[in-house]
Amino acid sequence: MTAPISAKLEQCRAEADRYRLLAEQSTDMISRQTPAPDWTYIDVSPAVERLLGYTPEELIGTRGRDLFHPEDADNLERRADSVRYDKGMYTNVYRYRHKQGHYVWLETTSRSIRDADGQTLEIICVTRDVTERERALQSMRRLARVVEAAGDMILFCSPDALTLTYLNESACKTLGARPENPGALHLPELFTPDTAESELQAALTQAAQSGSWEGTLEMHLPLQQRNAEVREIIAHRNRRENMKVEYYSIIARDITVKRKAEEEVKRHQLEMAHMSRLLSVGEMATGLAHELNQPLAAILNYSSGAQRRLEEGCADPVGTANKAIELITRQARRAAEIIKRMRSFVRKTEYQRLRFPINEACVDVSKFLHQEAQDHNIRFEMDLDPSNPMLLADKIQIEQVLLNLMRNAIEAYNDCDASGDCRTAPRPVILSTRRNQGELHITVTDQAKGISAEALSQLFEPFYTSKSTGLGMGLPISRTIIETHGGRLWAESDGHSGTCFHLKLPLKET
Amino acid sequence: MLHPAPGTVFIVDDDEDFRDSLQWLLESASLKVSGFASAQTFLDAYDGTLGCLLLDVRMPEINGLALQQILRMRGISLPTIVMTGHGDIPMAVSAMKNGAVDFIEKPFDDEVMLQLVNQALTQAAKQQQAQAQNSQIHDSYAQLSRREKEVMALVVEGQSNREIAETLGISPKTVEVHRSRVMGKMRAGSIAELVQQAARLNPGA
Repeated sequence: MTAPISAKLEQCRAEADRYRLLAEQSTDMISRQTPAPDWTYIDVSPAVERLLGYTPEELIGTRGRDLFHPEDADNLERRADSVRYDKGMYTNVYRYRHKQGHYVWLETTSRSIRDADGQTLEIICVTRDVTERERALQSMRRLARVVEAAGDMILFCSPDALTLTYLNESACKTLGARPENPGALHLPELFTPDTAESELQAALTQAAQSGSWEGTLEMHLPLQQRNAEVREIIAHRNRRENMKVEYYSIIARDITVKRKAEEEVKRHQLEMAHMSRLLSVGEMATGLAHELNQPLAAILNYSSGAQRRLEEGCADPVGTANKAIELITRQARRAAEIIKRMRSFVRKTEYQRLRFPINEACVDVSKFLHQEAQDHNIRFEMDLDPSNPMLLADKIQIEQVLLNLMRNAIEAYNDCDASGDCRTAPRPVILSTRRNQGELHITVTDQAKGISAEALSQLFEPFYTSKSTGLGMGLPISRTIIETHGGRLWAESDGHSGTCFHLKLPLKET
Repeated sequence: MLHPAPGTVFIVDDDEDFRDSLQWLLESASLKVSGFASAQTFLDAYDGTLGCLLLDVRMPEINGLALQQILRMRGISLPTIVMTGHGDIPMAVSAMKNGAVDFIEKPFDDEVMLQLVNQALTQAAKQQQAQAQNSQIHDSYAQLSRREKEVMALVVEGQSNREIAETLGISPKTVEVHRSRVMGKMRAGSIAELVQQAARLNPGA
């Protein structure tokens, strides 16, 4: 019996040595602690010294709870986020005080040892230092929070199916999506089919090749009734696997508010242009009345003349009446034409970009000003680009600008008394159009007395006017209109022999 | 117009349609009409023919008011009716100050227009008659000798033959001879007539 006993003893000792070796050599700290709430150390492995600075002897018999960070001591009871439970074992991540006073991040997996009645006798814990992992995690979390809370929309998207895998809060808000179900959306759905097929595809391809793409891609969100545009696409590529794209991150911006403001400005401008047009018509009313008077007076003359002939029994009454009716009809048409011209000019129209020949618009405006030009002894000289450039712009607004500039040119001669240098009659107002390196260059030139350098600098300020009847809004409105079209408007003058207004607009040749 | 006054109606208006319509109206009253598109073409063509002028105030280059002044400078006294557009009252006033016989606003009533034209033509005829008389008086006066002119001046002043004889240092008899020659050459029936002729010879004196 002794032999087996001693052998068994020997076997037990070897086994104990083996476990002690495992416990002592483990870099993880293994401890036995009394149940909650004190968690007094019953035993602890030597690894504790490396983790917490204490020797096992210093710790055994002390309350484990006392070393918890005050905020983390209740983690287990609270079932805090930091606690996981799996198959009878709890894993808790918490801050714990080192002997030197600072806190370290520990991860402990614990299991309760219970007696036959289910009472907890003690707790076996395996603990490791996760400070570095926690720090990394925390900075990742901070980064994630920045991404999540960013004002720009940030979306992650898979490279092949272009399924959205992540949307930050801003993106969810704009797209009306739920953050927990980003995959319900595919990137191309956020654009018009055309944009998705051409521009988006090109941007993704470029990002995949060079790492990133920057630009502006208008998103199409009719259901959400929002305006947004993609500004940047970053391809996250795997360096090991042939630079294959793992996912795209897409940065976009919600521009609904900005767009609304722009539209507001545009609407405002439209109203200004309309008002300015009404003002122009008001200022031209005398001229228009006179112009209309002519055909009316002619009609009256023809009808009186015909009546007289018929009353006095002329030789060919039918022929006379016919001729009179024909002449009267022609004059009535002329009057109607004048009214039509005026109405088409005053009509309130929506902002409308369309392609139109600029030369034709110049001729139209000069016709509109025909009477005023005649009254002021003005001759319009047209120097129009023979290639007949087509401008993509709001025709009515551009015509309004031309009208303002030409009226200014006419009125510039008002300061010239008959004896002055600029008497050369009729006085020229020269309108020229030229295509030049993708730009349309229009000039309106007069040969009146010019504008002083001081006056030039104030010319485009609202309510600056040299006219007794003007409001001083014509040029500021004109400049705003031209700038909204991506162009420039300025004036040049030598101060004595005339003024030239320059207008440059981009010509989009498509 | 049953009896249109003699003479030509000159229309100066840059609006061809209007000019034609006015011509059509005036011709219906059997008036002789001649139209011009500008002040310059009228000035170039006008040869002193009896008539009146229908003038538009608003015209390019030389406007109606300027043409009136040019005519006055050239001593052409065509009775002028100025045509204005609606609301051109200040221009009409200037035209009247420039010596227009009347002004009329477009569009106008044919009766009013024709009446104005007739008045203007009648005035033109009278002017022409007066002018003819004037030139006759001038011609007659030119035939007087120096002494006869002296005698005429003193007679017109109201001096008697004896006073004239004393002033000129000649005999009353000789004065009487000069005086009857003056009356003969000037075709004056009375002293009063001679006084009138003298006034026309020397307007403003």
